[in-house]
Amino acid sequence: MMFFSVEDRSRLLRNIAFVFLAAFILSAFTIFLMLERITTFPHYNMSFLFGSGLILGYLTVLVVKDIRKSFLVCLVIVIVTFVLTSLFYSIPSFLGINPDLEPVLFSALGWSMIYSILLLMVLFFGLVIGFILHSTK
Amino acid sequence: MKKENTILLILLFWALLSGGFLYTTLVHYVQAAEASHGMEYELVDLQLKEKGDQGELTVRVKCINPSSIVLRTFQVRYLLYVNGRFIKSDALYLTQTLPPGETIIQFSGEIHRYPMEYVNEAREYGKMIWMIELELVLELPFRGLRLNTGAVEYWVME
Repeated sequence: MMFFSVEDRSRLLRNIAFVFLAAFILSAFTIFLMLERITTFPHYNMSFLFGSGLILGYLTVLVVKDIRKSFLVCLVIVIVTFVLTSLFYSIPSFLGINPDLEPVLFSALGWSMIYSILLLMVLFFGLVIGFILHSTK
Repeated sequence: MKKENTILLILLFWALLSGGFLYTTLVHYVQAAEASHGMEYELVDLQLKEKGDQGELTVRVKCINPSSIVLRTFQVRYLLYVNGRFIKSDALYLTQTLPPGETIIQFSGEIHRYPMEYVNEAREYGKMIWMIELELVLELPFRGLRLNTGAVEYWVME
C-alpha cells in the first residue's frame, strides 16, 4: 500500500466499483434472457443486454481513460459477469432444490459462457466507439 | 473526477433497478424449481364399476404441491396395469388448480371388453394389484410454462 498514492488508491477503488456494478448489471440482464419465461423484466431482454454492453463499453473509456487498461477492465467485467451469472442461475441447486426445468450447472456455465463471449465483443465495440468519439475531441 | 463519480452513481442506480427485477425473477425461479422437483402424488382411491362386459374406473390422486405458487393441471396421462398386464392408456385434458399443499384430483376412464377379461382373470386369482404410471402436465403461472411430472402408484383390491 505504500507504493500507491491516495489518488491511485481512489482510482483503483473506483475502477473496482465500476467493474462490479457493470458485471452485476450485465449478469442481471443475462439472467433475464436465460429465464425468459419466468423473468419479471418486461420485454426486449436481448436488446437490453447488448445495449447495456455497448453503453458500459463506452463508459469504460470515460472511467478508465487508458486504451490498454480499458480492454483489461472489459475482460475483467466479462469474467465477473460469467461468474455471477453462473451463481445466480445455480441458486436452486445451492438451496438444495434440483430443478428439472433445465439441467443446472452445465447449462448455466455453457449459456453464461456464450453470452459472456458475445458481451465481450459488444463491450469492445463500445470501447472502440468511445475511443473514436473522444480522440476526435 | 466529478464525471467519474457521476458515472458510478448512474451505474449504482441502474444496478439497483436491475437488482429489483433480478430478485423477483430469482424468487420465481426458485418457486418454479420447487414445483418441478418437489411435486408428489399419492393414489388414494381406485374404484371399478362393471357395466356389462365393460368397466368404468375412477381414480383419485392426492397431489402435494410443495411450492408457494398455485399450479394448474393441463393434462393427465396414464398407463394402467393389473397384476402386471397392460389394461389401458389414456390422456385427458383436465384443468384443476393445485394450490400450495394437498389437493385431490379425480378422473375416470372406461375399460373395454378385452382388457376387462384380464381384470376378471385377476379377480379370480383373488388379489388385484393395480399399477398406474401417472404423468401430469402442469401449468405454472409464468407465461404458459409447462412442466411434466410423474409417479408410479399401486393399489391392491382383495
